[in-house]
Amino acid sequence: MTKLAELASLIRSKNAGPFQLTFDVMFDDRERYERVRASGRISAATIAKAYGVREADVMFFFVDNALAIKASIPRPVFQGDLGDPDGHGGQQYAPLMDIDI
Amino acid sequence: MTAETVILAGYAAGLRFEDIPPEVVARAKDCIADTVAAVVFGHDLPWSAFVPADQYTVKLEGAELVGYQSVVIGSVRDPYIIRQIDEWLARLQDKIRSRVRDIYRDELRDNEYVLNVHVYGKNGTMGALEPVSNASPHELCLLFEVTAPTQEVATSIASITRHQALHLPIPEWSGLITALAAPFSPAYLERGPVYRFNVNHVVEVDDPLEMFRIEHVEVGS
Repeated sequence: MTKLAELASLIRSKNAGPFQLTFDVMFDDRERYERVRASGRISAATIAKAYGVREADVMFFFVDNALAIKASIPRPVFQGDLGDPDGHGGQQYAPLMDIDI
Repeated sequence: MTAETVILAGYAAGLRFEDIPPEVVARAKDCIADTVAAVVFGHDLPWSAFVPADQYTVKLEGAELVGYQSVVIGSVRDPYIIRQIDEWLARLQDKIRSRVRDIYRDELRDNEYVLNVHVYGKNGTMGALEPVSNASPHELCLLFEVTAPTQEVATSIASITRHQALHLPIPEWSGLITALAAPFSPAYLERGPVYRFNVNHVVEVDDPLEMFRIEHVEVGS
């Protein structure tokens, strides 16, 4: 087993507009990207489980020509609204790092 | 057009440039410059294409004043408090709300102010999205965030918050405890007015220019 963080060159999160949070998992080489993709360990269901949201609310894409995985979920608190803990949404990716591939 | 669309379009059409705060104008300029720069850079890349939509649309986004904010930063090191922090904070909320009712009575109802607590060391960064539920930190940072109709009221509730948190008892100790470590005196910080998004809308217009007033001015001779 290898953690997703050990295979990816970058895992990041940020706002996609004020109402959505988006995640990028990027790879330096095709072999690692294909290994992660083929493992079946990362999907809309994985993201839904990691963040406690409904799978139907997760947008999930493998972007083969960019060697990247992209997922978006609704923000539980809109950007900048009262109680929003992370205005840029930049520190929301940590739960993805530990996914076993 | 639907009723909401008519209202929003009316607002957008009636908005005068002089009414827009200078920071908003500066940010809008930056956004437009950024968009133009991205288009200029990307327009002839092999994977770029201009795809016209069937329906011309105008995007509306807006923000509103929510209130005025004061915050209190403090921390907790006592493991007895840390192990029951959720319950302790729930009791604290009740205490604060009851104290505010005593002081303001009918002048400030429960739903006219908001008290949020960020618990750093537990779920301060991710809030509702935090999947870790069994962390055992040796200290916690508490950020109390009070939002009220005026700065004065926000600060008054922040002071109540500090006072109630400072001495809220736990069953393990008898007598007066001091539960909160505060780095600043006075403990509150005034944050001024706070805003939130309240409009996210797409208007399907019949004519691209119908929402915009155009005035022609002749300059020079």
